[in-house]
Amino acid sequence: MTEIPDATTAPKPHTDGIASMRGGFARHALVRDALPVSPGPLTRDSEAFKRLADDLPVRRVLWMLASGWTWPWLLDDATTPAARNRAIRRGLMAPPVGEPDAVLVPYHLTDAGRAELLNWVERITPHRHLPEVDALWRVVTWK
Amino acid sequence: MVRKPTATERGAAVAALEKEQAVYRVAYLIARGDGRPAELTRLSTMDSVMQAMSRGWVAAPITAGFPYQLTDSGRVALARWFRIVADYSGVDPVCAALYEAVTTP
Repeated sequence: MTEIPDATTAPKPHTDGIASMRGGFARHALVRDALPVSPGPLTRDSEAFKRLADDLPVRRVLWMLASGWTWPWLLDDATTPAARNRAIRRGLMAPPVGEPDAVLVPYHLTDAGRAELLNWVERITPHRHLPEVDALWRVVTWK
Repeated sequence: MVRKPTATERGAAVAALEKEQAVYRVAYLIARGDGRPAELTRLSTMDSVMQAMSRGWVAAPITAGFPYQLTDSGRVALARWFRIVADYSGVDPVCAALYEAVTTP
């Protein structure tokens, strides 16, 4: 037999009991609260897509360097001077050592440039099944 | 002003580089873009690659698209090597032989 609480003696719900079971706004943090918020779908005008599509010519320079096109006569044919200058100014790449007609040490992908490129690859890889994202990938990695 | 090294100092430096020429060979191969394991084993040995990696001159490969890469400290070491060896390869036969051994295709 259930006991019908008397209106005059019922405990005030917000003053005792377990905090998370009181039914008020205050509660303990749940495991669900620690999970990261889903970024939502990746569309052409979403912030994540814009960050993936940012400065593709420089990323192309970094990609060609990473895949071994370090001699000036190879890299200069595959990339634009503006992109190379930007990569050097941002410290992602080092220019060759030696005279232009007698290069000793070729172009160099710096540690910062390698980290930058790997970060981009890591971010774009889960979305490459989308045709518009795969177009970005091909702009950078096309041979 | 930087003092020019004497002949004996330079001789000692070149002898030290001669002992380590296998590691500089690896750094040179990776710098010029032959960082794939197949090319490194053909032109050098994996033993020297491991030595270069333990010195922090070379970063490990990640996928087929990311073969072995030269790090910034490896680049500094290689540039120093060229300053010592390449500038004297015309006058010093020891330097000429060392230059030839490391940069041969």
